[in-house]
Amino acid sequence: MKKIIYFISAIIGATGLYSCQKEFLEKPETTGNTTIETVFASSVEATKALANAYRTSLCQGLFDNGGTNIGNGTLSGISGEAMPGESWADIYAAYSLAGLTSERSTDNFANNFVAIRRNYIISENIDKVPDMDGATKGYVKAEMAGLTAYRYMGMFIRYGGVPIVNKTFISSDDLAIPRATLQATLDNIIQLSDAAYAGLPDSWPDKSVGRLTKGAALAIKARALQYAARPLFNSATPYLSLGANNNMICFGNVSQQRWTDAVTANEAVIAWGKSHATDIINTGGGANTPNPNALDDYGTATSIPNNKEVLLAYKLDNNANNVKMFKFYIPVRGSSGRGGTDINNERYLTDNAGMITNFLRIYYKADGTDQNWPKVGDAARPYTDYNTRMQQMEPRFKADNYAHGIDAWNNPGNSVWSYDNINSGVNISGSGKGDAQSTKFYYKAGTRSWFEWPLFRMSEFYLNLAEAYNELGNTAKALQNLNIVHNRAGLPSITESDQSALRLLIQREWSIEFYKENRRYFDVKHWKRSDIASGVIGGQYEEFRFTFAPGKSNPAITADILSYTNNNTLSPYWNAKMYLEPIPLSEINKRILVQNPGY
Amino acid sequence: MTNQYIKSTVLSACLLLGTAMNIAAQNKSLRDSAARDTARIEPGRLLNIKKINSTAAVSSVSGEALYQTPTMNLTNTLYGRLNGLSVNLGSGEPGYDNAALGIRGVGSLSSTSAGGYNTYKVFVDGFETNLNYLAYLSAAEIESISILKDAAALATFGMRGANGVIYVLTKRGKVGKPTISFQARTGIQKAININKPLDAFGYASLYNQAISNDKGRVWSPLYSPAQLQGYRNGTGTNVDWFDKVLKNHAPYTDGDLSFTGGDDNARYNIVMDYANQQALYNVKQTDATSNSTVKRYNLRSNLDFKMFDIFEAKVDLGARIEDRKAPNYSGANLWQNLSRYPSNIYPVRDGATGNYSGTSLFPDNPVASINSLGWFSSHRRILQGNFTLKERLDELTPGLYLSQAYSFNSYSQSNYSKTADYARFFNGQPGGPTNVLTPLRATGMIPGGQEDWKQLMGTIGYERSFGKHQILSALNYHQSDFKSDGGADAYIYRYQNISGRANYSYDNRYVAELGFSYFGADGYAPGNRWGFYPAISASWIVSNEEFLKDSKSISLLKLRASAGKTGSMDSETQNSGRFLYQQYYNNSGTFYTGNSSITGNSGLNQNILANPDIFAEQSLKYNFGAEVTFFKKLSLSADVFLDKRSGILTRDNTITGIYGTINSFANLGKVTNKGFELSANFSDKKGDFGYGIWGQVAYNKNRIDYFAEIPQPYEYNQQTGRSIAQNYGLVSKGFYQLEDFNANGTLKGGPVPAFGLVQPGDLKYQDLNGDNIIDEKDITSVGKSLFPEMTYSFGANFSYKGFDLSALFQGIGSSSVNILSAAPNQIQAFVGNGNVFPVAQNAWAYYPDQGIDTRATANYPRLTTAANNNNYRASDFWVKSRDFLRLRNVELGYTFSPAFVKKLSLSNLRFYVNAVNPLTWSRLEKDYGLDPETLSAYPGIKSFNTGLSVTF
Repeated sequence: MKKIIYFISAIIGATGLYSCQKEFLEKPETTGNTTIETVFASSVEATKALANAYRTSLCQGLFDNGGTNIGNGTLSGISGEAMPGESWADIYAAYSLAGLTSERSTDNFANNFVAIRRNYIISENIDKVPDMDGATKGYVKAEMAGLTAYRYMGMFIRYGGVPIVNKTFISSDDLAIPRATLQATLDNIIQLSDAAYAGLPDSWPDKSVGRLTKGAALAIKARALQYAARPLFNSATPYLSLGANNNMICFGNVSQQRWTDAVTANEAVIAWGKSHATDIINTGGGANTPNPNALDDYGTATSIPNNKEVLLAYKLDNNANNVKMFKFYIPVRGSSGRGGTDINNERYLTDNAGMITNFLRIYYKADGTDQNWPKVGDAARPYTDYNTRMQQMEPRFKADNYAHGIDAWNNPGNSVWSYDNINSGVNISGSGKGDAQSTKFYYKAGTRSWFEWPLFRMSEFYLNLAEAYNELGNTAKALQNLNIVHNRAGLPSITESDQSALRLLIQREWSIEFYKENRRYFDVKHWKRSDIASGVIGGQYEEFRFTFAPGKSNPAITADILSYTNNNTLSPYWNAKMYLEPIPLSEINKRILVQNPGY
Repeated sequence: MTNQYIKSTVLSACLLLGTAMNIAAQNKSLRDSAARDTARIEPGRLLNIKKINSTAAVSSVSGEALYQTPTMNLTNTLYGRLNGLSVNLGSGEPGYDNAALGIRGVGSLSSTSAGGYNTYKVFVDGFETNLNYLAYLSAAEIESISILKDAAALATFGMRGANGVIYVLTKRGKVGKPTISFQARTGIQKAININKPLDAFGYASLYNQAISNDKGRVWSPLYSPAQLQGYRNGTGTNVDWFDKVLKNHAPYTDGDLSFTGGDDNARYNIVMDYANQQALYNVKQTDATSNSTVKRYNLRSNLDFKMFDIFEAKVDLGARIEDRKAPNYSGANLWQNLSRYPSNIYPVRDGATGNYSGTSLFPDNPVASINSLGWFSSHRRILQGNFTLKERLDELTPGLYLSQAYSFNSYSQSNYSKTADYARFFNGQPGGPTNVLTPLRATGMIPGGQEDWKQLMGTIGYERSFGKHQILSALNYHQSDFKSDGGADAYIYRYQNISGRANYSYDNRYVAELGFSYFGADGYAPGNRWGFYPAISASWIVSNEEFLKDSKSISLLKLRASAGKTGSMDSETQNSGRFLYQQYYNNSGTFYTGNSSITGNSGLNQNILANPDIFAEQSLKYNFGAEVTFFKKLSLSADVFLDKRSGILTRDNTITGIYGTINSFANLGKVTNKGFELSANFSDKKGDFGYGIWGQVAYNKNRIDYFAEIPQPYEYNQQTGRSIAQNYGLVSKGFYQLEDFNANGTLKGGPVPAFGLVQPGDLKYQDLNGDNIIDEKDITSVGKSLFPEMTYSFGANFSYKGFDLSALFQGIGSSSVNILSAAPNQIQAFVGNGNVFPVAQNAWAYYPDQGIDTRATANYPRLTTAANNNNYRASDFWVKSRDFLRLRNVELGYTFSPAFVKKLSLSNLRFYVNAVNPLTWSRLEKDYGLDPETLSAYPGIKSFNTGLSVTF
């Protein structure tokens, strides 16, 4: 019996030993978990948080990391530049069906504040990092101020006045922060960008190029002031009444001072640029001289990584990770089996996003005159007419597009970019293939996967100045700045002196220069274009349609294409409420924020 | 007597405190455990309580009853057998055919992603396991499966209990001479329902309508009359992809051999089982191709020993190998392609070259997908080993015992495949996809995931009776340590559970029970890891009272009630909210910089906002039950329950977006779930003729009381106050007609839909808020939730001499499904280059010149080839009742007479034929061609089988 009792005691003892490990319920050993203490305990980890803040902040409006609320398309598809792409895509509905609603906007409202929160977490905690020097910490704080300014600038353009957040909230904070006035929002952007300017360096070491510089801070401020001066905001009455809250969407008066402020800010960007090897690229022409190297210079400015015209870019290496963004821009069908690279197989989403005739007409011919394109209802013209006229187009058209039946101009002699390789067919009965298809951002790209989205390009500030000086009545200055951009594109100088006529020419220059760069969608609204509902954002779109010779059907064989006509295609929705974006219903229902009018 | 009574009360109290080691008492102990096993014991934890004395709500079914359904997957044998368990048939793909299970409806918000199913926990022989282990147990190794439903039954489960427990007991050896029995069965399996698209002619005719609708309703056919004629007379391409890929039926076989026997000192029950199932794919088994198959080998050895009158030991080994093999193409994609690829896209093989056809739009030729890509196989090994040692300490005090138990459960999978590829051709040319002919290549054996689970228990128990008093009590310590492949935060799960039960009965008339669990989980903040879960219950066996004791009519009348608390650690939050008390950063995105070369800077991002107060959700359960038997023939039982959930881990949606993170969670959610279960059973025997009929019904209804919902503009938009997983949508009111439009195509009046321009034949909706716009503000609850509110079953069995016949019917009520989202490929015609099914045959169309006018009779919106946000969105037009009744099982058997069997030196011999799921009554199937349980992908399976069982 005794033996048995010993034995039982031993069993119980063993069980007890095994079970009474005190730490049994402690968090098990794990790897890769980073807490707020460890993030800011080393500069390596803190720099990762910084990278995340950059990515989150700068992707506003871009198809990456949840940057927008409209999937599977680009803003080109709803701004009168191009067709909206696949009919099942969200953007198609936004544009062609019922416009924007409180559940469908081009921006993800809450993501703005996600980005801002990330920025403040870093600026509030960066001082804790032990192995980072004080200068670097100062830069980081300035960068975070700059990124926050960038986001606010984007919100200002999209929504008008928005809530001002100036710290990392904790759950016990009072979160009932209403929308600020338009003026207070602008002041916040200026304050942040001034702070960023003060703290940022003029340049970064080679491997860090892509982070904010003093020039970028100036550019944020200049763009914000330019939009503040434009008629949508710089007005006594808003586009639609918001009653007592009109000051959230309108300054309540028209002031020329806003244009003067814009001039100062834009001149500052150009001055900074000139002293830091950043300027518009023009390798051939002088003042008032058409640039003979226009295709190369404009192509380089919009496509080649780290060219001197780009002040800030959103850089992506598409080979390294399968980011969504390039799907919407890469125009090449090629694949490993057909001479291209594998990533290009993702191109399918751009098949039905061709340029519309309404936009094609905006382009000049290479000699600076207008091209004679067929009107809807005109008799069919032979394909050779199309081919000839396309070859006559200005260099910027050729840098940004390929035409049906013609090898891409922007990658001359490269078989990857031959029409045979990149075409997705021409319009026969359906719609979407457009008059031409985009090759923008891929000038002399070959199979390069390094993709840079220009966030600030120096030609913007010259056009800003042209616009502002024209509004201030300074025609000479306006023309001087306009022609810097116009001549660079290989076109003879513009000499128009009538203010209204010149305004339209400046806007035309804007449209061409920044095709597919997410600008026109906002510009036409802030300019309050009178034709916005007739073929710009709303109204009748037109598109070429082609006919094959009898018995032929291969779009890659130019000789098989018989003729083309211009036809009415989609007729998208426009409503004045769409001047500004809606705040999502889910936020409005929390009864803190005021909705923009009409939604 | 009084003295002893007090003593025993003190004793049991002390036991519950875990300190009673040497208190002496002198009454005789209960009968020995072997004898107790033969009594009718209610399956449950820690204590062996006779059914009659139980205070808990438990439904049980024997392994023999489950064996009646020839299927490899145990979850597919449970239909209609356990009252309170909802079972939904899933895919019939061999090896991937788990049914969805749910006990007493949906109690928690944290389970909506699976429609409220699969929230239960599984315990086998007292140790926790999971679905991986449960699903492919063989019915031959199972003694019983029970569902534990109320607070009394779940008292000891702590944070594992709130959503019910499936409690499995495996077969143990019985004292007696060695018995060998052999069972085998084989049969054919067929799809319950295959919804085929229209043929090429039907497709092309309707496509002409669709494209014309898209072109301003001007007749602009894509297919010419000559082409249509060609489809009709067989000269055009017209491929029935289902026909080419599937065969009519597939074989199923299983067999098992059991050995059982032993004496008082050693008993054994050993089961060996083999099963083999093949899929409906029409593909041969060769070196390069394989049908989808699964083979299962089970071995279970349960041994009981007794030593020195003190020790009792159990050694249980449950081992299993599962071998799966399938064509090297995702089954989900294959079934999607079968539905999506129109009949006229191309012939199976390209005429000119004899290669498989394929285009960039339809790249994966379904026939080639199963024949030309090679195969994939997985090899799963599962072993559960349990060891229990019990010491009877009657020497110290009669009825006192200790027990220790250890369980090791190991699961691992490795994968092996042989892959190939084929070139796609179209009209004699490469068809678009750039795949090239690639010869068969083998991969090495590569890991496919593993788990191991170590559990330990220590028990101190005390069981005595004193005259009319009987006490059963035990105090248990359970420690669970689970490891699996998983994320850094998710691969180890640990808990500790100190639990106890004390069941006291007086004179077999009054029973009271106390149970508790003090449960600690590793996922919560230090100091906040432990929860206390008490339960109290009682029953009154009225039929043992003097006034009923001798009643002829009422042979049993029992009432019981329970109340108590349980918890749940599960949540749909990332990792169920584990370790949420700390603020984490995760790797997120890459930001690129660089001048001469580009550098990816990896990012770190703040994860879900830390909340130190996160804890398990809690459930307060109340149950009242009654059982009555009349004339020993008709038995009825009824249970009503109420389950109040609180502290459900929920995203706080009320926080404004300017907070900068929506990932803020807290124990906010509240849900009420209530319902009842009724059952009736009548059996009788008249001479050689025996018969029985039975039926049962379970009803459950839940309501979200609070879940920090995003504030909604109108009450009818809200989900708060409605059922979990309720369907929401617009309310439709017919189609727009020609008269609704002006000549220029604009609407004449009435509310304007915000989802796109409409034209005649589009769906019209009700403007609930009267703002003249149809938008999200007009969405309200439509139909019911996916999880059925009612599950019922009934059946009958007859026996005459050697013959026996039985049938089992099962059905559900009050369940809806949004067919648009559940079966998009079959419902949305043409959209996204899709196909068209019979459901769209009578779409709204008006082309008088073509003789097409369905305006008056249409039951489908006008066809379109483009996406249509107005028509194809959730509305009552697409949310349909899922109610159905199914004949689950019918079996006819013949048992040879003992005299005949004896001549063959056998003790029992039976042959039978049976059918599983042979008949279904469902409106969904009738109106939309959709099976109400398995709406898309691999269909549910019906089978016809024959088998024999022999006992030597």
